[in-house]
Amino acid sequence: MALKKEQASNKTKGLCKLVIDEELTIYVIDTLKQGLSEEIDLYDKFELNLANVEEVDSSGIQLLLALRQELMSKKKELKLTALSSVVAKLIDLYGISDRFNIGEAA
Amino acid sequence: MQQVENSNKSDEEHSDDVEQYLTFMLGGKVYGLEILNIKEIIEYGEVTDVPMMPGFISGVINLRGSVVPVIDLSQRFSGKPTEHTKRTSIIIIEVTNDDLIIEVGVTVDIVNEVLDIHSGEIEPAPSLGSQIQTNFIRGMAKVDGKLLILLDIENVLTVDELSQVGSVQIAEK
Amino acid sequence: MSDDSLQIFAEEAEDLLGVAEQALLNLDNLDNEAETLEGVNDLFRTFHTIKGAAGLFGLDTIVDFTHIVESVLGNVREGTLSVDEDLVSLFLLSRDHLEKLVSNALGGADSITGELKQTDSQLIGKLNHYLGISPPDENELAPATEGTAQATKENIDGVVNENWHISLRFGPDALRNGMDPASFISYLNKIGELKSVSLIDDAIPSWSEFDPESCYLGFEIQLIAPNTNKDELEEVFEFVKDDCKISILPPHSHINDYIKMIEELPEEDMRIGDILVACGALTNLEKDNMLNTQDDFRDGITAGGQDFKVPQLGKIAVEEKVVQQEIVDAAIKKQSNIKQQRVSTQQTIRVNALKLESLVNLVGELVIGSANSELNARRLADADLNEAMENLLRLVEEVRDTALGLRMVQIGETFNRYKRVVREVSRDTGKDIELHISGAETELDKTLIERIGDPLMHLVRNAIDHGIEPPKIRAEKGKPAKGLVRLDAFHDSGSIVIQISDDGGGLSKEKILNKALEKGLVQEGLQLSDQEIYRLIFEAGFSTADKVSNLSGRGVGMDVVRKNIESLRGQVEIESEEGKGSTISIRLPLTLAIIDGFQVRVGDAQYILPLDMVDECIELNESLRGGDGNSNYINLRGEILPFMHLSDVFKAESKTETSAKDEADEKHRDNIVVVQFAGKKAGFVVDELLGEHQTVIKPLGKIFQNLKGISGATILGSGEVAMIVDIPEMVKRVINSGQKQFVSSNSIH
Repeated sequence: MALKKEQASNKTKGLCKLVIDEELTIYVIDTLKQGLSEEIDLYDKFELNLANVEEVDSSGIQLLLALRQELMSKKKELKLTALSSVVAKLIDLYGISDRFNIGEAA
Repeated sequence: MQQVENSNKSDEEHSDDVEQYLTFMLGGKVYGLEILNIKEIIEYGEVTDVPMMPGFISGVINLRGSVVPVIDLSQRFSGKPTEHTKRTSIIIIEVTNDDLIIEVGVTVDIVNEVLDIHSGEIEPAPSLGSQIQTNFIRGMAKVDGKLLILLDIENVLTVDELSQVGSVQIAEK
Repeated sequence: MSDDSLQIFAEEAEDLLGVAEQALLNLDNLDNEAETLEGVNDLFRTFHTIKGAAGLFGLDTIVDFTHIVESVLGNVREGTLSVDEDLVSLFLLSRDHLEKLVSNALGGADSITGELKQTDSQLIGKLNHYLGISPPDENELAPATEGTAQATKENIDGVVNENWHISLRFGPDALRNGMDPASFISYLNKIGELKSVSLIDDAIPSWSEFDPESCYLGFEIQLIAPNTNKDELEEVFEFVKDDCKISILPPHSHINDYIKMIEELPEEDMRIGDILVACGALTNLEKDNMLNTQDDFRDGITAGGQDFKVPQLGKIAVEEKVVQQEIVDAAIKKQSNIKQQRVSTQQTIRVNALKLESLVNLVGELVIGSANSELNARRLADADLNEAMENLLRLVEEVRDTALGLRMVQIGETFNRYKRVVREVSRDTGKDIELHISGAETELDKTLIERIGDPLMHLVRNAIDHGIEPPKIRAEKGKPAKGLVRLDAFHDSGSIVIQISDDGGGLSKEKILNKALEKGLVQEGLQLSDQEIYRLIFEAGFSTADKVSNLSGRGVGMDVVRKNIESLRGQVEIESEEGKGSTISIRLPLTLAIIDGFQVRVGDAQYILPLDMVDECIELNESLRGGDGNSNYINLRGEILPFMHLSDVFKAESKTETSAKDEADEKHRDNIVVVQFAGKKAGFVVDELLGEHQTVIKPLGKIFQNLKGISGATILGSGEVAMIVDIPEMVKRVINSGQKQFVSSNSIH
């Protein structure tokens, strides 16, 4: 499964920690979206760990942007706690690093 | 307020012209009206009374969707209202007033024929003894031994005069 | 150059000049910088559009003149020139001059001569002064602002940007087809140097609608590649050109190319403009110029906007900068207002007035014709046919309302004209006066509006000239320095009421009475009510102005005003309190050509009562009669209702013929139709109530113009003619005759 939920996620705190492993590409993008859909309504804060993403393409970045848009509209928070180098490079190429809250995990 | 018109005007303008007149009977006399202004002739039909107007205004009729006023010529001339028979007709005339052309109908007893009359045959109206105000009359003509009174329709139907009559206040009950 | 297109230019120019005038008049609060700047921007756009249109038609004089106005406005926008009252006045004069130039051109003239030329030179001289350009024979310094004016003109042609600008909007299937934007953009980095990349994610829909395999991405890219050519760059996108919209703009592109690109992009122009500035494609000035050049009359939101998700301004603002919520909310509100305005202005089309008149006439005939059909259908007593007729009549009624509605115009347009008058007269008389307008959306028939314009204008001028006192006197009286003139319009039971009020000195009954005595308009010793005294000012030759100003007070004004209003079958009423102010109320009938009428029979004749003035119908119950049983009033639920027999009024002068019907009617209980006008009620006794009737008003003609009590005629379905009762006049009669019966005078209203 490309999307994993860390055990530390805790409903009462409202924080959901997610990890995306290996692929953030069009081949798994549908499944990823579904997985995210299940969590979006349940929490207020989301932390996404992308340190282990080995392959990323534009659909992956697009998914991140869509997620960000959705969470913002619901006044929820999104933080990217770690980026693999491929992810960082693409975000850089697209000049969108200022759109994401990139920081330390809580 | 009477308007006095110089009836010699017609003589100067059409010195040897022939004009066509529609002749009709009214109260036993024969009259003629220049056909230039005549739009049509219709049977006397439903005339709707317009309240608070003097008697010689019979009322209005529905002329193909237009509301046209009808004047009782007999009453206008002599004060006696027209007696309506099967031959009573309404002549629809176009009158110009202040650059506006309005349609007015006049009731007559019997409509006769259209006659050609030379302007040379027209004599001025007699100033005395005429039942009708002289400015209504353009002139007299003799045709086939009969005396024909030619009407000056603009004077018969001066809109100003007619309209002034309408502002009568009703009497208090 | 066809006459038609020149006509269209003239019409559009007229509209724009109207907008300009309003914008200029709204520049009355020059301290409010934001508001002023917004107004100046609007003006700049308006004049710029006129210039462009004039250029298309080769109207050089107009182009040249407008260009100078535009330049001055440009300086104001840039902040090198500040706007004051004098400049606004100069702009107003320039606008007026432009109006004359347009009609001159419409008349076929190629050039201008005489007075027009003189004004032209004069104004140009004054405007140039603001640009720092002095007339040739003056020895004043001519600072570099002239250069700026020139330079501004040049800049408008090619942009400053020396880099390539590439705009990409990937289609939904791009990703599915294996095209990844990243590979193309990375490749660009090999050809040249990516100065900036801006990712546009505006098209990403809401999460639930978001298809993660589709592509919603766009990019605006600045590429440093001085030695490349367009073909090379286009080759980069060779494989994706079916799945991507591409725009490539070389360095120093012509501004029109940017405009074209902005228009073709799905996002809102303002938004794209900002992005382009942010990434360095355009300077701020260029962006402003471009946005202004756009055609004001196309869809103001986006070029293909309907299908794309239009981004919320708030969303963008929150993304790109940290912005407070209130400011965002205000900005959103403003955008939606602009949107509303634009949408409404586009939904009007020009219609030939004659065509409209024919349409209304035809609708009238349609109403009569269908009434006729209905009568005939009823005789056949066929249920299906009756139902079909009902449907038909209902549709005809709707067509009628819509067609008549076409002729209705909001009075707001007329009211707005007076803003200018107020402004100028205030300046001329040295008074400080504000004009408040309410009821601007109240609609009147077009012909009414045209004819009420001048009388209203006169009354407004009067209020300013004679009503409002000079500031000094107002201060002495303890009134606020700013005088208030109010224009109001509203509907009231079948009439439209227009009120002009002022908080000035009010009418002095003494002064009026004295003047009237002097002029011999009244006799000594007559007891006159307040209203009667006030009415004296409408008499010909009357004027209490101590000296004749060139605006009003010539003594020929008020009586003409009254005549005009009466010719429209309207009434004027004055209310005033000395020292406090006055209110003049004009009441006009809503002269629609086709009205809802209530048909009644009186004797042998049919009459129509305008339905909107009919309150109710009741039976004349003898027990309700007031007084001694013979009086002409009844007790209507505690109210005193004077009444009259219509048969008395209408049969009084005509031939007295009693018919069998009359005698039969005598035995029935009478019906009273209760009507209302201007707050006063009256009852009319009729013989039979015949119900509602769509009444096409047929004027009775000049012969009957002095006839009081009847306002027109109509043709019934049967072909008969029915008279339409003039209710206001009749109510007046009933009340006047009733008054003589009462001892106490306060029992009527």
